[in-house]
Amino acid sequence: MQSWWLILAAAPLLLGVEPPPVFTRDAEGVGVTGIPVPRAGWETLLRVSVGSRENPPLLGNVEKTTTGLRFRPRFPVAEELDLVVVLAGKQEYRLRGTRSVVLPTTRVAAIYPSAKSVPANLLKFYLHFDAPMARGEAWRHLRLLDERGEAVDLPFLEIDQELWDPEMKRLTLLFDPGRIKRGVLPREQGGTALEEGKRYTLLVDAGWKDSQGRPLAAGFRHEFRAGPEERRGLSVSQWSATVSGSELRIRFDRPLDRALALRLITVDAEGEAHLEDEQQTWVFVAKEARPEYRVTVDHRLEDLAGNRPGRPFDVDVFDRITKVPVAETTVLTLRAR
Amino acid sequence: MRMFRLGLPLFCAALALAGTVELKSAGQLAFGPKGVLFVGDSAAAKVYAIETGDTSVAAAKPFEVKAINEKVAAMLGATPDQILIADAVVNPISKNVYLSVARGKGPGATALLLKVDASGKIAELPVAKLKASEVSLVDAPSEDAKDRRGQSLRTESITDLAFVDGKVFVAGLSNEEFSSSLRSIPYPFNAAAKAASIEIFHGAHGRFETNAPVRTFVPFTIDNQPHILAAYTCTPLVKIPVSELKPGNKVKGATIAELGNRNRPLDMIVYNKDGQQYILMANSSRGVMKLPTAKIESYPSITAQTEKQGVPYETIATLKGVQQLDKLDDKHALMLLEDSGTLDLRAVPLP
Repeated sequence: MQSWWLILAAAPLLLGVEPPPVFTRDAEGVGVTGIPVPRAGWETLLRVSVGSRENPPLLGNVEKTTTGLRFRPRFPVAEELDLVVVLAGKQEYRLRGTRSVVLPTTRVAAIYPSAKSVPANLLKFYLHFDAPMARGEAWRHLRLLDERGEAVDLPFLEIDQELWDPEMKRLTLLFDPGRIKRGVLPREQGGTALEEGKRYTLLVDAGWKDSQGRPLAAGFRHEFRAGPEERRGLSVSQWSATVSGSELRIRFDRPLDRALALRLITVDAEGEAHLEDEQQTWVFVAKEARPEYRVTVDHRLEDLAGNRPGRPFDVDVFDRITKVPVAETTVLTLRAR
Repeated sequence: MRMFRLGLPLFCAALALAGTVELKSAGQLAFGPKGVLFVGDSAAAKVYAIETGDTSVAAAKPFEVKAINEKVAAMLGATPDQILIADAVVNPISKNVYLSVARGKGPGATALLLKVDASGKIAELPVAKLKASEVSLVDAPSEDAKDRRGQSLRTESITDLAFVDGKVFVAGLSNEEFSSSLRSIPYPFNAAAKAASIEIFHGAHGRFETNAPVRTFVPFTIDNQPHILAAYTCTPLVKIPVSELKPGNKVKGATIAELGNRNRPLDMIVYNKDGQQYILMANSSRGVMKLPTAKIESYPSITAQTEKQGVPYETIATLKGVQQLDKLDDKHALMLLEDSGTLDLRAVPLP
């Protein structure tokens, strides 16, 4: 909570014969005492603005108090801002803000996929932070470096909205789909962002601000290698599953998108799921062991390159073999041995 | 085949009532009939239709508000780096400009709408006092399956919003699955609307097809028929007849241009100049493009992999840092222009 601020008898810029008014500034706004308050028209006696009287007035209301007037802002005013109070359209008083030092503590907590080798047509990274971050900062603080240490030009889909989770602790970093999808101009002109066989470093600089406006406690780097492109639809039939007491394990045919695997593979039992083995094994621990479990795989599931069950990321329309009828889900019945 | 689903929303409020708007976030904006402002609230997964009452006809005047982000910050008691302006649109009746603004940048940011007139006066739109109706974009509770901690981390950002031919079209982009979502919502919002989906196929587009999301789109008339011209995240520009965007229909759209590697549209407007119709497109930090639409009407769909150019375009070199774009009148566009962190709101002659 904001404590009461020390603001007393701000120096009037115009000297009058009356004793100077006394101002208080706190989380509730600006109070003024020691001024004559007329019966009518007091609502317009006090004008408060940030920094200079040239600025539009702060949104808020003036109230009459037992000892004077109070300006109640519509939103809490940032502590570091100077406020300029104009009384009766004439006298101007400056209430100085206070700057407090805030130490950075927020860090990058994890990145997915975590593997050191990913398909060259990788569709996204998830960048996890240990505290809420600020919107509108991402594209200035992220770089993808090639093996010579040079920045790859525009590797990501830089959208203003920035794809955060509701808590703003996880950012989805989408590689430019135009450089992944075959047969479109960006890929033909600029090539793919990642080239098979090459090494890359994703660099997060410490200047990226969190939701408190503080920079990160440290930068972050993630080194990885681009492997062969993955263009096949996911094949649930190639997964292998084991049940051992209350633990279910499914080994996928390749690593999957972590967020989607945790959200879209569901079990008809209570318990918790997590991924192991660099997102290639799904593990579910049931609260109570059962002889049989039904696991539902929603076909919105994607691998690291956006391929779904029965539906690759991009379909070669001349190759009818790839056009498999698309079901919405697959249900796997797993039994304990 | 390229395909995306067009879902109709489940929950609709039938009546416009005062005191119903509680913005969790304020993003994309669009004006509908009679001063109705549509507001995309991604955090709440809703679209609001707010009756602004700003219906006095006025001609456009020269418009320039310098450092509008600093002025807005000062009004809201925040430092300029804690203010985000998500969208700027012109009320086509009054020519006043409406901004969607976030005070704060974290999950606890406050959303509000501001009105700016040609004199530069900025005022908060008192949304809680205005009549409004709303529509939820959450298709069904099962859509939001929870993660193992009982929380869904999935969000869907509304990337564009437009009112076309009696309907609000809403494009969305998820932070998890790479699937497209384009919704069509008849306005006035109708309690009887049910969840339904349309599959849209974009045949005749090279050899490889994917179900990429729409990033931005603009209403546009071809041969007296309303269309939407949609830009995809993978950059093709596709025309889709509005008449075919009905639940249950399978729709064919046609790719008419590819925009290349450095052209990623943020915002588009359609205008006429010297008897010709053009599209003006602001791209993310890489300039503004102008495309003649006469070519779009007659331009053949891109059908072979070797045809990459599609509709020709020119880049307007003088326009830099364009963040938002809307039509002010027949001769001017309203632009939000960024120059080293400062945003100016300005009327700019249409090129």
